[in-house]
Amino acid sequence: MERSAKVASKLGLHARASARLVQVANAYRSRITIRHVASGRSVDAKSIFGVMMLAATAGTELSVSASGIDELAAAEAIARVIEEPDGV
Amino acid sequence: MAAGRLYRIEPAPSPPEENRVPPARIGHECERFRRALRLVRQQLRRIRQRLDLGAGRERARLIDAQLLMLGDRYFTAGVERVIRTQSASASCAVRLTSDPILRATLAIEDAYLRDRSREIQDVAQRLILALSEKRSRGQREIPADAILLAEDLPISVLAEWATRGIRAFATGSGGWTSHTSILARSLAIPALAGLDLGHRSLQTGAPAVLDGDRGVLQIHPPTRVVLRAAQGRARELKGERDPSSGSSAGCVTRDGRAITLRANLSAPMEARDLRRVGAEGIGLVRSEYLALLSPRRRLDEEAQVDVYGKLVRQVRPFSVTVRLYDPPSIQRLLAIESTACGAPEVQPEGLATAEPACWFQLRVLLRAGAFGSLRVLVPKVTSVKQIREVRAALERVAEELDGERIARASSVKLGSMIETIDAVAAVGRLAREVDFFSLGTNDLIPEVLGQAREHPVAQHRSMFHPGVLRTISRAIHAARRGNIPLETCGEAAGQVPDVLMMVGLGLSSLSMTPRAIPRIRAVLQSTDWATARRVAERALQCRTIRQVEELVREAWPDHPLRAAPCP
Repeated sequence: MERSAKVASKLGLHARASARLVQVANAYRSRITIRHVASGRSVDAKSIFGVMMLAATAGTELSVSASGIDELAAAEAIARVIEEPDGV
Repeated sequence: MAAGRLYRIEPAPSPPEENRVPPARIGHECERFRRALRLVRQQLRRIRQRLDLGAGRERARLIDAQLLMLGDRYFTAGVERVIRTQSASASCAVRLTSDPILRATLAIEDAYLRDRSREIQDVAQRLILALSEKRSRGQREIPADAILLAEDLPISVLAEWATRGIRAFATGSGGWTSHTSILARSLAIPALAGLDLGHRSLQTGAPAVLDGDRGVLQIHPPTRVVLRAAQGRARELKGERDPSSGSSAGCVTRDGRAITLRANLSAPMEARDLRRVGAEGIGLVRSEYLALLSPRRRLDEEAQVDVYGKLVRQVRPFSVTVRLYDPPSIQRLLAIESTACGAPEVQPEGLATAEPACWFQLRVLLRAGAFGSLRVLVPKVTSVKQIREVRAALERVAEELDGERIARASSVKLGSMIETIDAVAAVGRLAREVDFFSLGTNDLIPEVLGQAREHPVAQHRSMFHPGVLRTISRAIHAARRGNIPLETCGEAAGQVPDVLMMVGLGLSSLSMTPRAIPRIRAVLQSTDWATARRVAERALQCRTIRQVEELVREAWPDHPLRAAPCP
C-alpha cells in the first residue's frame, strides 16, 4: 500500500511532529517506510532518528508505503500526521 | 552538638575513559548500556511529568521525542552492535553511534530542523553520564551514627541523607550561608564548613563530637564530652534548648524600639515551631520547602495550594511570604528530586523550565492567598522591568483563575529582594513599583565584596565590612525615602552580634530560621537601640573590618564575634 503526502506544518517534520509520527507508526504492525520523493531516500517510520533525518521541511513531498496486515490503515494514519497542519 | 563516628566520603575517582574492553566484558557492557537506557528513561519521564503540570506541554512533547530516541531500535541495536563488533565500551559505543546521527542532523539546511540536534545530543550525554556514574554508586550504605566528612555535600545529597538520620556533617568547602549549611540549620543537623579534610586525624571510624554552634570538631573526645553532646542533642531535638525565653510574641528593645521577628522556612518540620517561638508570620518560604515535603513526587497544583493554604491559615493574622523560583533554585529542586529518586544528579532543562514553573507557582500562590494574607517576593531583582513583568503575570493568572471560577486572593503584596548591587542602586525607582523590600544579605554581602557565596569564609565576618555596612545603610535610607518597608531574611538576622548591627543600621523587621527566634528575641530585649544606633553610625565611618569589630567588641562584650567560619 503506497500513498503520497505533503508536509503541511510550517515548521516541517520537527522533533515533536516526528515523535507523533513514530508513536502513530508504532501502533501498527505493518512495516512502514517513508520516502523523500525528491532525493529518493527512504526511512523506517518507526525510527525517530530516521524520520528526523528525512529533514522534511514544509511542502516536502513524501511517499508512505506500508506492508502488513493493517497496511491500509497504517499508511492512511501516517499520511494524515504528515498532512496535519500546525497547532494540532 | 552531636557525638558519633567519622565517616569520610571520598569523591568518586572518575574512571579513566576506556574506549576498548576485553572480549570477556562485552556482555557486561551491553548490560550496562541497557541499564543506562532504563535510568535515562526514568529521568526523562520524571521531567516530563513535571512539565505536564504547568504550561510546559510543548517541552513535554520534545521529551517524548527523546524517549522515542531511547527506544529507537536502530539506535539501541546500533550501539550494541558497535560494542560487540568493535569491543567498544558502552559510552564509547554511544558516542560512535550518536555522532554520525548528530553530524547528519547538523547538516540539515533548515535551521529549525537542524536545531533539533540539541535533543539528540542531550540524550547521548545523559546516557554517557549515566554510564559513568554507574560505578561510583553503592557507597551509600553509611552507619547510623555517622558524622559525615566530605569535601562538598550538595544539597541534594544532604536531603537524601537527612532522611536516614545522620548525626552531623562537616565539609571542606561551602560557607555558613551556602544552601547546604542553611538547610542543615533548618533540619537541626549540627554542621561545620571550611574544614581542612587533609588532616590525618580525620579517619573513618574515629569517635568524634561536632559542635555546630561553637564551630568545633573534637576527635577522640573524653567520655564526659560525649555524654554532654548526647544530652544537648536530646534537648535540641525536643526543642527545649532555651527554656527561659517562653513564647512571648512581639519583641521590643530595652529602650522601646519594636522589632518584628518572622520565620524563614526551609524544611516542613519548622512549620510546627512557629507558634512556640512566637514568629510574627513567615518572612520567607525557601524553594526547598515543597521538595522536602514530598521529595519523591512533585506535588500537583491542588496539593501545593493545600500546603500553602494551611501555612497561610496557620499564621493568620500575620502573612506568609513566598519567594518565586529563580533558575538556580529550580536547579536545586530538580537535584533534590532526582537524588531522592535514586537517579544521578543531572542539570536538566536549564532556563526553559523557569517560565512555566513561574506561571504554575503564581497560580498556586494566588489561590493559597485566598485563605489569608500571602505576599510574593521576586528574587534576584536587578531592574524595575522584572517587577513589572511579575505584576503583569500576576494579573494574567488572576484573570485565568477568574475565568475558571476558582477562588483566589483579591490582592497579593509584591516585594522585591534587594540582594544585588544593581537593586541597591535602584531602590528609589523600585519603591514606586513594590509593596515591600527584603534585604538578602546572603547574596548581597559576597557581591559587594566580590566573593563567591559558597566560599568557606564568605561573609562570616564580612557582615562587619564597612563597605557592606554602607551598602546596607544606603538601601535602608532609599527605602525609607520611598516610604516602603524594608525587612531582611538573610542569615545574619539570626546571628549575634550581626543582628545588633542590622538593628542599629535601622532595620526593624527580621526573618530567620525559627529555632533562632527565641535567642534573638532575648538578646534584643536586653539591648538598647540607642547603643546599636551609635555603634552603627560610628561603624559607617570606619575604614577596615578590624575597626568595626573593635567597636562591636567594646559595645557588646557579652556577644563575642565568632572565631571560626562554621554553619
